[in-house]
Amino acid sequence: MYIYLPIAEVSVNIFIIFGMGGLVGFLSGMFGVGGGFLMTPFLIFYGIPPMVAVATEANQIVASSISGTIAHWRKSAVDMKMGSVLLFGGIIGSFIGIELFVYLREVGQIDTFISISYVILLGSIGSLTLVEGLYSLIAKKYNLKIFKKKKVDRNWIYLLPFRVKFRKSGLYVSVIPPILIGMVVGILATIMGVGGGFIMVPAMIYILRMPTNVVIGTSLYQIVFVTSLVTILHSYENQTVDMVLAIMLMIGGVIGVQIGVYFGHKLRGEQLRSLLGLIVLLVCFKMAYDLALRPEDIFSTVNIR
Amino acid sequence: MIKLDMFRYYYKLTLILGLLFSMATEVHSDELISDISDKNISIESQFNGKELLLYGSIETQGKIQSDIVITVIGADHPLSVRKKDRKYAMWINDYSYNYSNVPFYYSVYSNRPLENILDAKQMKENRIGVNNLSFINRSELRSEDEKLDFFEAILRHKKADRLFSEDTNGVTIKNNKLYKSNIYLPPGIKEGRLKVNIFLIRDGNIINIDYLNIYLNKRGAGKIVYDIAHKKPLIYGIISVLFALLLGWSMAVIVRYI
Repeated sequence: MYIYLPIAEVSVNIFIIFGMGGLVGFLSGMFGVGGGFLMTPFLIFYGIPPMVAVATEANQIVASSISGTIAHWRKSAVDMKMGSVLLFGGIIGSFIGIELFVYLREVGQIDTFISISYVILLGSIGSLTLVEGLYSLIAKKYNLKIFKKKKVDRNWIYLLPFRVKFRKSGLYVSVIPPILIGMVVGILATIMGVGGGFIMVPAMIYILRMPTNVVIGTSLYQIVFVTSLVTILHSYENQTVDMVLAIMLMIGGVIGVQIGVYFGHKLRGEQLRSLLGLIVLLVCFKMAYDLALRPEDIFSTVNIR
Repeated sequence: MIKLDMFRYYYKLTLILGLLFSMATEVHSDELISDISDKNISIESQFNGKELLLYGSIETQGKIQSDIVITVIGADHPLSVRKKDRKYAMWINDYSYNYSNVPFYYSVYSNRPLENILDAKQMKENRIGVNNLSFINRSELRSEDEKLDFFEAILRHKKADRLFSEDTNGVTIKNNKLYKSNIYLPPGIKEGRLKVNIFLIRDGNIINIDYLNIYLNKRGAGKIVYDIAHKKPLIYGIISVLFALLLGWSMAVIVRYI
């Protein structure tokens, strides 16, 4: 059954769209990651214009991250103050991102730029995850002791000015690093249609030294607001948010997450991580291949509004 | 607009010339009466293309075989054509040209090959035949070869979407009196007016032209979404966010009680 997407201006098979929403939701539930960095490439592979894929995916993440935030909120696992500082950076980053996006759209390079960003991002995340996952698998099999870096209490960020107390996280730290982290996430969200949790969470743990129990809730809290802003900015500047597509993805995603969580408990952590790394790398290779391959037609036509 | 007025002027001129010519050879005028099965078409989200029946009668006392050519032309729309080139091991957009007057939809139907019916000049003047369309380019192209490459790219893409088509077997004429043709509207067609021109041709001359209009209207939820997104983009963005928040929130509540 086909449905015409009013903003993407393409006909899509609704079962494939629900299926993609479900599959990515399944992977998110199973691996405990956000789905944006897989959903946007899948939409592009299916033939949704990249600009629409990015903006619509940002809209979908609003729905999935609010659910997650509420769940963490109930467990009192959100550092509002830190989240707001990260959000401040995120707002600045989103405005920088949208300026860059509009400029690249006007010079006709946005599609290539989105693809290149994905190749770099997926390539680095995928290989890190795969290597780390395989390493722990091998270490476990041969009973090797994994070398762990001794935790240093004070690192270079404690030398920076504008220190503020974050009671929930038990930190007294400069606001500059979280603002910068938030900014990077804001830019990524705008250009790639991702939440940015995969960058924010490690940064919060390793750079800000936040306790792990509040990290995910706090990052989700920031993602809700940043992706909301990104959705509005894309809608205002590019008119590329496809609500019909977004709603189908949200519904498919919600169902997929529940199934994914169920199966996630049955697999071991190291296997899961290696598998995720492999999937991410495959998507990366497909994206890179499409960039490098000579297109069937070197001309393309675009309707100007 | 000037270009459009020019075409109107040409139509009138050829019509008058045609009538004068026919009056000079025969005393009576040649009538052409046409109609179409459906003039108001609504496009909904499940619209998957449509065929219309165009039919009519040719009133003539002459013995010479008549030819019928039908053109269906949609509104002009600006189009950007981009050329990719290999740079840094990737195929990326190199440069582009903007065209201001490419019809969104163009189809031509005739009872036999166009070149056997009309000479090149008349075809060009009346926008008959896909290859006789001319598109205005806002900037100077680098060379004549390139001009042709870009022109062909437009035709190729439009034909692939079935938005441009040419059917030289698309008109059947019965007893030199009745004619009919099937007009195809593809799934990707936009709303707006389609201008239908029916040319009655005899001996390589346009004798009469009849005009009809087809109106395409988008309907349903898709139309509302599109209109709000383009006319009130800020409000549209806020609605999208509120909807996502509401859906995500209710999901969190539902999951808790399952």
